[in-house]
Amino acid sequence: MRCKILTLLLFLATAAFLAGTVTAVPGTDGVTRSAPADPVPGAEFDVKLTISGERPLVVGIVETIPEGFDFVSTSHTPDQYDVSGQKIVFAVINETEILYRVKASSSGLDTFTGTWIDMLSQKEGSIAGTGGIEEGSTPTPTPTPTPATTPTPEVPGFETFFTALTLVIAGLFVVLLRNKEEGGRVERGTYYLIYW
Amino acid sequence: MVLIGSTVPLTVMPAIATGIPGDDDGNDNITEKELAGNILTYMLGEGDLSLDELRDAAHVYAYWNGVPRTIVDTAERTVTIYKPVKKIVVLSSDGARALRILGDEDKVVGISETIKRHPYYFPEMSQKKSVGTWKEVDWEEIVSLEPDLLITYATGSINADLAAEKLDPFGITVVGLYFYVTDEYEQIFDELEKLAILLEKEEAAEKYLKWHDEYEARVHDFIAGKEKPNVFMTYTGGSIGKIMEIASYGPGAIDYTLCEKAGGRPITEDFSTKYPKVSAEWVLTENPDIIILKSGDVFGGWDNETEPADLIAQMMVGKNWDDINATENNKIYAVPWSITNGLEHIYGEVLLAKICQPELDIDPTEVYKEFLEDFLRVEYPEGKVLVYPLLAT
Amino acid sequence: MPELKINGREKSAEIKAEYKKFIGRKILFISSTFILIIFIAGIAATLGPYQISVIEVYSIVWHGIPKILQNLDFILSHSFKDFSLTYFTKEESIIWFLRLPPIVMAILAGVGLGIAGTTMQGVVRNPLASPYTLGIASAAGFGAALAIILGAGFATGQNIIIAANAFFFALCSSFIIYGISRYKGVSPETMILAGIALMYLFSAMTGVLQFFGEEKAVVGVVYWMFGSLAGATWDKLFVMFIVLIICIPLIMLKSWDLNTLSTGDERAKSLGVNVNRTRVVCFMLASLVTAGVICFTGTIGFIGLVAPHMCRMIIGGDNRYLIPASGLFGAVVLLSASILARPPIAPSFIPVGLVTAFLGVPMFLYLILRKRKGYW
Repeated sequence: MRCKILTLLLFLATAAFLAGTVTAVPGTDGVTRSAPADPVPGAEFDVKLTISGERPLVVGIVETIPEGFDFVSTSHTPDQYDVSGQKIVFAVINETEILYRVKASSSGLDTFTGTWIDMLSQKEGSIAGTGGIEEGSTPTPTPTPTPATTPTPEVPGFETFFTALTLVIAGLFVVLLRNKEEGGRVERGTYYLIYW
Repeated sequence: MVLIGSTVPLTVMPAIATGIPGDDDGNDNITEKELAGNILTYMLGEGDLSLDELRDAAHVYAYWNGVPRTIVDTAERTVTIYKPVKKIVVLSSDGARALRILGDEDKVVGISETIKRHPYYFPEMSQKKSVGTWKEVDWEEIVSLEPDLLITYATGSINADLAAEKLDPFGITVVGLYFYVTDEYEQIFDELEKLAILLEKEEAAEKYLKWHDEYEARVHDFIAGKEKPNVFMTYTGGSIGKIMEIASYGPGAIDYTLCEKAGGRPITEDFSTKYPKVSAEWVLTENPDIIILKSGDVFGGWDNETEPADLIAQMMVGKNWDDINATENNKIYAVPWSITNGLEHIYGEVLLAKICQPELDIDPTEVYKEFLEDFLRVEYPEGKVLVYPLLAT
Repeated sequence: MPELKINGREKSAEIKAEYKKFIGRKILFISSTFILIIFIAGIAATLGPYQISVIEVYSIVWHGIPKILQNLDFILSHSFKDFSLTYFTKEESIIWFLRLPPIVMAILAGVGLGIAGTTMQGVVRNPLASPYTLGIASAAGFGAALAIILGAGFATGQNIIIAANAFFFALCSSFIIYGISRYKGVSPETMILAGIALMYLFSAMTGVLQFFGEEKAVVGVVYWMFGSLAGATWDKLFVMFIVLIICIPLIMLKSWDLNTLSTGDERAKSLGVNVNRTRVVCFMLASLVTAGVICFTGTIGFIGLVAPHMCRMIIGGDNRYLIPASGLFGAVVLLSASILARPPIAPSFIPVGLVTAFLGVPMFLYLILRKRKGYW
C-alpha cells in the first residue's frame, strides 16, 4: 500500500509538473499579423503571424488574402496548411510563428483579413494587424461543415412477408387444433372437478 | 404501412462513432498529422467534425499524448475514455462525494434520489435531474441527458454490467466504482485514482490520498507497541433487542480491519464468518473493554444526544452486561454508521484509535471537519453528535 | 348451455352447430387478445422522456427488423453497440434497446407464466395451483440469493450468474418433486405436498443466507424477489424465447391429454392416456417454462394463478384453447401492469410484480362475482 501510494505520488507529481499548463488558462491569447505597410505592387513580400500564449498550443487559422494577391509559399509544415482560392488555412500545433509569402497585385495596397479558433480553449477571434496592413474588420464567419447525408434504401417487401408469416403461424395453430378435434374425442365444456 | 415506410430513413454507410474524434485511421492514437488535417478541413468549412469534436481531438492530442485514457473498474470492466468527460450522471451518494473531492461536481447533469435528498452535502448536484433510485433508474432519462460518463456501483441492482448493456448503444461510457470501503480496504483508494484518471483530476486525488495517509501513518506509529484493549463492535440491523442474535464483524469485514488498524483487538478474532451473530452470554464471557455500537444516518451524525443514548440503552436491555469492563469503565460508545464506510472513514479510524488509545494526540472531530471543509467543501455543521458519549480531549 | 330437447340425428347436428359456435368464440377471443397485445405494446413503447408517437414506434420497429437482418454480419463481427451507433438514429436506439426489451420481456414472461399456470392447474387438478405452487419460486429465489450474497465479491458476469443460479435451483426443485413422485407414485397429492415441503425448505435456506449476509446484498435479494422487467436485454430475451419456443409447442401437444386428466385418472386411463407420463411431462415442461421466465424477471406473482382462471371463465376449460388463451392473456395483464408500474412522474417505479396483483385482483373478483355458478 505504502509503496503503491509513493509510486503514485511520484507519478502524479511528474504528471502535474508536465501538465503544469493545464491549470493555467490554456490556449492562445490572440494572433497578430505583421506585414509591410505598403507592399510594392507586383512584388513578393512576407507576412508573419504571431501566436501568443503558452504551450501546448493548437490553433486553426484562416487567412483571406485580397483579390489579385497570390500565395507563393510558406515555411510552415507542408501537412499543416492548405490553400483554397484566396483562403490560406493553417493548423498551428505548438508553434508561435508562421511566415508566408504572397505576391502583391498590380494595384498594391489592400486589406488582409483573418480569423483564428483556439482548439484547447473556447476562444476565437480575428487576427489583429500590426505593421501597416489594416486589420480585417469583418471576420470570416465560422465555417459550419454540413453533415454527410446518406442514401435511404427501402425494404418494401418486408411487411408483406411478416404479415404472411404471422398468418401462417396462426393458421398452423388452427389446423393443429382442428386435427385433434376431428379425432372425435372432444366434448365441449369439460369442466374440471374440484379436487382439493 | 407504405406511408409509415417512407418516414424513417435508413443509414447504410458504416461509420464507427466510438474512438477519438479525428482519429482517421482508427488506431486509437491521434497524431499531429491527423489533427492538423482535421483542423485544415474544418477551417475550410469541410470535413465531418464539429468544432466541439475538433477541440476534443486537440485536447486528447495535447494533454493525453494522443491516446485514450483507460482504467479497469471495480466490476473488472475495461473503461476507456476517448475524449474529455464533460457531462456526468452519478447514481450513488458515495460516487457524488468522490466527485466533490475531485472537484468535478459542475459536470454532473443527472443524479439519484439519495443525492437529491442531501442538498447540504451536494449543494449543486442535488439540484440536477434525478434519474432514479439505487434499485431502478429510467435509462431513457439518462440517455436524454447525454452524459459522457455514468458512475454507478460495480454490483447491485443497477450494476455497471447492466448499465453498460443499456447505455452502450448510445455511446455512454459506464464506470462501476463503489466509493465506499469494501472488505478490500485498498479498493476505495484505487477507485479514487481511477476516476481521477478518467476526469483528469489526478492532483485532487493525490491531495486526498496524502491527507488520508498522513493520519493513517500517525495512528499506525502511535499504536505500535501499545497494549490492545478488547473491543466488541456491533451494529443495529434490526437485531438489537433480540437477545440471542447480536450482530458483529468477523475477520475480513472492513470494520474489523479498521478496529485492528485503530489499535484494538476485536473479540471476534477467532470467527470464520465476516458478519457473525453472537449471544449476549458469549460477549459476557469475553468481557470486552470497549463496546462500539454503529448506527444512524448515512451522513453526518445525530442532531441530539438523546438518540444515541436511547440506542445504547436499548442495546443493554436484557443483556446482563453490567459486570463487564466496558460497562464498569463507561466505555460503551454509539457512532454513526457512515464513519467507517465512506471516503471519510479515516475519521472513523482516528475515532476508534482515540477510543482505544485515549492518549492519541489527534482530535477526531478536527479530522471530520477537515474532510467536510477541505474535501467536500461544505461548512462543518456545528452541533452534530459524531460519537456518544463525547470523548475527553 | 341451452337445453337440448330433440333426439337422434337432429340433436347430434344441433350439438355440432353449437360446438362450432363455441369454437368460433374461442378463436375470436384468442385472436383479439393477440391484437390487444400488439396494441398495448405500441402504447407502452411511446412512454418515456423522448416524444415518439405510436406511428413512429411501429415504423421504427418495422424498419429495424430488416436493418438488423441486412447487417447481421456487421453485428456479429462488431457488436450491437457498434451497430447501434453506426446504423441507428437515437430514436431507433431508444426504441430498440431501451423500450422494446422490457415490453418483449413482459410479453414472453406473461405468456410463459400464464401457460405454466394453466398446465400446473391441469396437472394437479387444483384451482389453487400456480407456476409457483411446487416450490419453484422459492427455489429460484434461493438460487438468486446464493449468487447475490455469496457472489457479491465477483463482479464479472454477475447478472448472468444470478439468472443461471436461479434457473438451476428452480429446476432442482422440480427434479426433486419428480424423483419423489416416481418413488411414491405420481398423484396430485404427492406433488403438492412435496412442493409445499420444498417451498419451506428453500425459504428457510434463503433466510439463513440473508441472516449472515451483508446488508447491501440482503436488500438486493429482497428486491430480486419483487420481480422486475427492468433488467431486460436482448440476450436474456433470446434465452427466454428459446425456452418458450421449445416448451410451449410440447405442452400444446399434451393439451388433449391434460383434458382427460381433469375427468379423473381412471377415466383418462380408459381413454388410452398414460396418466403418469402425461403428468410428469407436463409438470416438467411447466417448470422449465417458469424457471426460464423467473430467472430473469424475479418472482412475478399472480399472473400464473389468475390468467388461467380468467380465461377459463371466458372460454371454458378445454386446454387446447385455454393454454394459448391464458398465455396471451397473461401477456396482456403483465404488459398493462408494466405500463402502470411507470407512473407519469418518473423516476419512481413500483415493482411490476406488485402492480400485477393490484391490477389483477379487482378484475378477478369481478369475474368471480359475475359468474353465477362454479366454473371450475
